[in-house]
Amino acid sequence: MSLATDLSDGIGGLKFVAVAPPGVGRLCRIPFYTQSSTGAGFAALIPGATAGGGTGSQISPVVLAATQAAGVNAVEVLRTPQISWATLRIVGFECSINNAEVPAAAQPEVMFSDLKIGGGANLFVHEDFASSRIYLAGQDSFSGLRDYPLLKSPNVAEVQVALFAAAGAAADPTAALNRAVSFSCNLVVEILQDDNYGSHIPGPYARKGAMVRRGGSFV
Amino acid sequence: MSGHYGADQQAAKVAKLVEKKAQLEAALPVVDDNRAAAIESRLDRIEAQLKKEIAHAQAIGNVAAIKAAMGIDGIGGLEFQAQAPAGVGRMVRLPFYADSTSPATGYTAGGTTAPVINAAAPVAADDQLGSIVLSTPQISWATLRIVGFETELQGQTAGTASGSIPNIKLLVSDLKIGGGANLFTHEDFADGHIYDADQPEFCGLRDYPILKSPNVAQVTISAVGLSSAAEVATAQFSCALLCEVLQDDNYGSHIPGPYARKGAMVRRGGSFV
Repeated sequence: MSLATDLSDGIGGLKFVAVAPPGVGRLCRIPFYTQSSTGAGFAALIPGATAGGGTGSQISPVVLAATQAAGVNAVEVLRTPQISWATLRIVGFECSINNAEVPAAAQPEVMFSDLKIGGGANLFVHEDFASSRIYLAGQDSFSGLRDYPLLKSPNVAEVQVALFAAAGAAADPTAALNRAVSFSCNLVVEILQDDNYGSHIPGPYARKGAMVRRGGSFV
Repeated sequence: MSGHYGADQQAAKVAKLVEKKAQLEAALPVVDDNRAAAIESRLDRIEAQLKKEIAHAQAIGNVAAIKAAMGIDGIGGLEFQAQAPAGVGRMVRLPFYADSTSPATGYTAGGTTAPVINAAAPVAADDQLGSIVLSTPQISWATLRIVGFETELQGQTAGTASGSIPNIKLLVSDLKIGGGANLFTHEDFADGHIYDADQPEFCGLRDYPILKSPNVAQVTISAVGLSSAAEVATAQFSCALLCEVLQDDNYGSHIPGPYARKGAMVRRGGSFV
């Protein structure tokens, strides 16, 4: 925007801004799913099905989880599905967590680690677990990643999740609802090419000019 | 203030131009057509002069003084920004409705006249509710462009130990127009929270298609969560399409937001060019 345009926008220099949709194919989300079964302490919540400890799902991303013992509990790996119909660029990671609003027992903390594509390097800056709160949906800004790699079938993204709590409960989270959390997590992606809807232009943060690196093997 | 020779004179010149522009703009609504044409011509010339001054200011490092002279920033370069309405016909919401007041076991809906749906998670045997399909009504009086999707979920209620178990979560899947392809990037269910109306930004879609009667939009919804013997988890939710009104039989043809204009809908290569 030029200064001349600014001049006609508002009196006294006040600017007006409306939050807008991001544009075609930008800031889309790809959910992570459990595998066909889960480890102890996790259960997928599947529409029209019966939930129970160890229930996995590749159609429902919402996972109910509870700690089995005090401290860091068992690790579960979540994966995105293979997206055969599009080429995507990963630009972020986010999660959504439902805790009990008035907890009757100590609530577990969800932690994430080792976000990677295929056999690639970790995209998180933390080598070990970090609190899910830094990736929580609804934040004013997205948390950064070490790189914005392409996601193309047959590659999938995967992330490790674990719970931490001061106290444990049963192995089946459905039997310990007052110590359970339900959560889901998503990749934030730009669609670069879509077999059904064509090739989109990504947002400015994911365009060629913004992906330039100085020196090193990437130049 | 810039130390460049002529910087102060330039700021004074710009201030005069801005003052004259304001006077002319104030007069514009109350003069006849001939005078209005003359004023508009003069305003164009002032705009051209201002553009030249801006280019000159950038060359001599006098931008801050010029911005101040134009009245477009505060003292010390502070700029002010306020949340604004989107503009006529932009970012309107079209609700989804259920086809009956009891679309499936566990769901109570307002039917085809009220978009709110209540879900009560089953208590027995860790069961989960099934899914329901919601539709927008046929909009015969307008042509719309779909630019987003929103959910709104209220917290759970009831129970003797209210709030002591996690809230119900909403799952969404398969947003489509008529018999079109899925507009979501996820082929299966996703957490409805990514489309929540309270999010600071909108989640993207694979395309921004036109919605024109008799076509309607459809989405598949499910509420998942568990109840305990002491507490029945219930929640109310509603969903809406985010649209731009391109043409309205009553209010005319609007100009959509920049994200939905021709230039923003360009695709590179492929069958869509």
